[in-house]
Amino acid sequence: MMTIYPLLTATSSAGTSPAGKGTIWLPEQASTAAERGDVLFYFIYYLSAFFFLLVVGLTVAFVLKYRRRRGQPVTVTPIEGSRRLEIAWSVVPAAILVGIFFWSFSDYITLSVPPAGALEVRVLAQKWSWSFDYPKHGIVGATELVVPQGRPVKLTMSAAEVIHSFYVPAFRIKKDVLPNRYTVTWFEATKLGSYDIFCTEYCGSGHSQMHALVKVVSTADFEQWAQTGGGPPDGKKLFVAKACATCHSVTTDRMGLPGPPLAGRFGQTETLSDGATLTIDDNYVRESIVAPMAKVVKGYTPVMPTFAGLLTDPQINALIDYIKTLK
Amino acid sequence: MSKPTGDQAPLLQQPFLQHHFHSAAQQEASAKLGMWLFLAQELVFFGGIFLAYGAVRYFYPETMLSAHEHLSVPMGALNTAVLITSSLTMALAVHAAQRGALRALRRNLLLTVALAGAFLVVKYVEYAHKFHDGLLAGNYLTAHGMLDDDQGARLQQAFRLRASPEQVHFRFDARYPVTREALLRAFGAHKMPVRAITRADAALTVSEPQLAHARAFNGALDDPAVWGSQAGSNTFAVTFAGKPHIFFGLYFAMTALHGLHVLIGMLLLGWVWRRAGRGDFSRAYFTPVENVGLYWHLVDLIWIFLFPLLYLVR
Amino acid sequence: MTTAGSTTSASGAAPAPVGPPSAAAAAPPSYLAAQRGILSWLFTLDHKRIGVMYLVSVLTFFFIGGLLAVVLRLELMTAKGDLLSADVYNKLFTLHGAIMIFVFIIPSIPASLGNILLPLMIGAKDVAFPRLNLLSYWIYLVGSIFLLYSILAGAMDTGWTFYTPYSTQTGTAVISATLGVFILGFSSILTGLNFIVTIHKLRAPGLTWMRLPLFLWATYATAIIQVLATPVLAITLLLLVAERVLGIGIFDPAMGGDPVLYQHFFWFYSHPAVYIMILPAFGIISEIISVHSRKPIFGYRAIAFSSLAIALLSFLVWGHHMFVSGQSELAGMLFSFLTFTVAVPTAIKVFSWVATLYKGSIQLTTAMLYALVFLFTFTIGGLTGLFLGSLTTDIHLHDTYFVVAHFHYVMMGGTVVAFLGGLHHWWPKFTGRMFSERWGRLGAALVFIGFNGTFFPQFILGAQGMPRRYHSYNLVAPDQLPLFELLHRLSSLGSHVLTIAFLIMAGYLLHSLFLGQRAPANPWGGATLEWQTASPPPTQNFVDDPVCSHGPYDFSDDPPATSAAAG
Repeated sequence: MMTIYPLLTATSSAGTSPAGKGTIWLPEQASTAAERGDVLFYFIYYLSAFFFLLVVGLTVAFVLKYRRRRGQPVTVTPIEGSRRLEIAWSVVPAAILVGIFFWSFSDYITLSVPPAGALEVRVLAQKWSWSFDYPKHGIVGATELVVPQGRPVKLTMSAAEVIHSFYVPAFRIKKDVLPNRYTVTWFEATKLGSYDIFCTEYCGSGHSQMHALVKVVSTADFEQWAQTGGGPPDGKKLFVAKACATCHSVTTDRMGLPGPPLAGRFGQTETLSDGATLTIDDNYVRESIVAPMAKVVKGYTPVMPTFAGLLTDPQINALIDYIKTLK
Repeated sequence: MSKPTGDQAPLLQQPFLQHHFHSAAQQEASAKLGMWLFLAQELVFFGGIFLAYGAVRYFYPETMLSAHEHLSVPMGALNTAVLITSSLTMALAVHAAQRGALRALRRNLLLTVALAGAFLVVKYVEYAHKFHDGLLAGNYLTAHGMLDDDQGARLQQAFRLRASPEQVHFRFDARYPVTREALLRAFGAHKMPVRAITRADAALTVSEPQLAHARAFNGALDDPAVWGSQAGSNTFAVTFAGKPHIFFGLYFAMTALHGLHVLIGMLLLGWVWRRAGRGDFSRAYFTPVENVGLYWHLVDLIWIFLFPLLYLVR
Repeated sequence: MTTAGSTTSASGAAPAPVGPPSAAAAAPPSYLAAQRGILSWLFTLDHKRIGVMYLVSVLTFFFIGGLLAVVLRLELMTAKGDLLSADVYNKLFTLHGAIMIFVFIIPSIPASLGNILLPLMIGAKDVAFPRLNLLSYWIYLVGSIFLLYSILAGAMDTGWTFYTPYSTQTGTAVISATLGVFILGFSSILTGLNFIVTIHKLRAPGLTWMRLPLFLWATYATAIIQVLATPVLAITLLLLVAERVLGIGIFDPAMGGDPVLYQHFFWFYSHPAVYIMILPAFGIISEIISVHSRKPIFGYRAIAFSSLAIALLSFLVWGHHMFVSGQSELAGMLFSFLTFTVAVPTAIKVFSWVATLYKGSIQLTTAMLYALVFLFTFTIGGLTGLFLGSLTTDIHLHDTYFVVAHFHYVMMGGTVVAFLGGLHHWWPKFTGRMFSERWGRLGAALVFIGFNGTFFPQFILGAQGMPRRYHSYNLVAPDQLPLFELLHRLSSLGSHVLTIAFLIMAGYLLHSLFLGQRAPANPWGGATLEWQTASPPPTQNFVDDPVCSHGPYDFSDDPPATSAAAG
């Protein structure tokens, strides 16, 4: 209320999104929902500004005019009420509120129903990362949400353990992501650029670090990205996103986990449960991922599930490269 | 309301009249209104847990149906009869107080306490049976008491893992054979529907958090490495059909809360009984008897809802 | 109003309690002086002493909760989160919320000011159930101890809402905290019950419902919510504890439960609880504005009945906390609509207060300044509620700093400011001492500046997309980061101004307690019954049983009070 919207725009000289032109109140509009919803936001904003100025203006005016002054007699007009006025200030706000309600409700219905033919993406939220699967393109575990400009995208979301919430301020969308159930939201990005994804349902230590980017690219770029299986995979992120970290420590200490620790093991000699020995190389790591029961390290229970079909070749390579770096 | 009405007898004749009331009538009306408000909040309190029950029944109707079979309808019906009778004796006690019949008042109060005690005894028998069978709330539901004597003797551990809440793991002494079929028979004999039984020796993955969880609920467990590597050990993962652990969670939560109210009721009845013996009450003043009576009828009423909801699921 | 048997009414200029000469000669000692020693307080049945104990307790907790908030704001001055670790930050904001909500703001006005004022305002000797009243206070103490014990036990990191399944999985001290809140609930229920009965049954002759001071209408509406909503919180927390200890599988999805069910249960209480917090504040504002502009309240009936309307509607709007939780569109629609209906009675109140000022004789006392601050901040708080009640704008703003700002504008700018106004308005009555008006006005001005400085930037932060409960905001896009940092620093700066304001307030109020001028019975010229007895009142409240002869805001009888403080 202190600042009138068109006069000030947020400073945005450098940044990832060249078109980052938000206002002082709202960040950049980068989706159809934002373009639509912001109209209502500003309507309520100006309405609120009007009523706020009315209430505070009258209060200040009355206080100035009717202030009791030293040495002057106290004059009061004992008005106890006015039916006409009271009805007016009940009915007028009520009518305005009903209007806002219908406006927001019709927008809400649009926002609730994903259009047919939308690009489907599965979102998995877990402490404290986002991962994105594109079932139609066979991309699993992408760590960034890459979407084409101008095409509706439908997100089907679920969480691993606790409630998270998927929020893209530039798109004005938000939906809780729950364990054991799917929630759905959708958007249609209108501008190229990359935008923040935040978790907005408190989820523990890493809540404020549960961040990812949504990258809006042209349709051609998207197709190319999808063709290449989602760009170069990141072994470190995959290690967490694919739950390797649940059983394998990335230090030299086992830390009570079921699987062998991985740091410093690459290139070393390993004794297997049948007494045989081998050197840990690319082939052994790969085999251990796709056929874990084949060669089990001595002293460990053969409990690892296979990841054959769940990881693409580039992803396996990235994981191997990551394991090599562990010291 | 604003004008105090009723008898304006001198204070000396009304030792029970507190200093901030103008009259006995005002005091009594206040006490009654206070009691009704208290009952209203009790209803909301139990209403909350009834709502939770409704939600669970909506989510898992088949669980409600199958799990309630383990409750004994005769026991429940007996307790219903006991409580209804106690409501009658309570009403008689209030009636006696109205007539100023102090002996009858005390006698009926004692009868009510005795019936409340009988209710708790029956409840104890029911609880003991559930504890024996292992039909407990949530994580504690193992149903291990349903195994036959031989299996029971060889059972070393029965526990749940958080990651697979529908499963109960049974670990038997490795020196004796226990078969899937024998387990299936044992649970079948107790109407405990089983969806699957697998030997879990090899397939059992236990991560550190799961283990911590299992330890917290089931006492010390052996090291999982030892556990898993005993290739010949008899560990079975039994998946029960439905979610009986939720049903029994609700059963114990609801009946324990109600039982607590019965216990509090007994204390209140005892207190009123003692005051009656001290000569505190007369035809002019017996508000505490009435209020405890109201409370007792509410406790009874709640059971009238609990009985069909838990014991008579259709 | 006159005291039965008394012909003179209190005159503001008189330095000592005024009554008929005969009564003055044998004036009974004040409730403060009636007995001495700590046990005479802990075992008192006097509603005023119990109210004072509540007052001391809630102010202590306000101080603790405020200290935590200042630390939180310090942390947020930099984007990186380098002052505290994430876990410590998470525990601190949880404690800040839990302490402020459950042991400060819910009991703040009803249990402290309400306890002292209710019998005085209806001309009774005490509340209907004095022993129950003392029991409520003890239960409150026990509950607070549980809550504080959870701090020693390592504190909890769930947020004050205890959302499942996080709260069933985290390794922190959730159980002692939830049990503490569970116990505190009983205190709240019993206080509400006591107040309802007292208002129904103990009013002085002549004090009809339509002569009931608006503070009591508000207290009455509050008490209804306390009695009928709090038990749901009690059962919810018990089920939460059972879920954690036994894993009974109602709320925890890992056990087959539904976490959204928990949210429904929780907000079924906690939304009405917001009105437990704000309704008494409305009552205080009605009293202050009317008395300090010496004018009958505009639209008495509308204000009185709007309190009841808000109390009833408050039970029907809980789902507006869950627009993005995955509840059905139909539910979202209904809850949004019902939420807007609550705005109408609230608007009626605000307009009526402004209209009361029209053609009044306004004294800019400290209490009145707080009421004016309230009109400013609560109007912003209420209007920003429209953004959150409306479905689509809420989707963007939900769980961002916009909500934090809205909530603080209503709770702190509304309830706390009104509480402070009430504290200053009735301070002479409670303590028998006047405080320094000069320092009081300075304090009010600093609260106004500090409060808006702290929380207004948070509206912008939230609308820009800053999520709440964030320990650090270093991952925000680089082009937005400077703006976020600027706004966070403004907010932190505001919190320091607020700290200074509260220290000043503590200073002059403590000073007045020991060295302040003796207060007259009726320093502001109020027309309700509490001003007709001495300041501070005797243990029995009134020397003679009062009879009520006119409405609460009928100032026509008395000559205008010329208080020492009148500007």
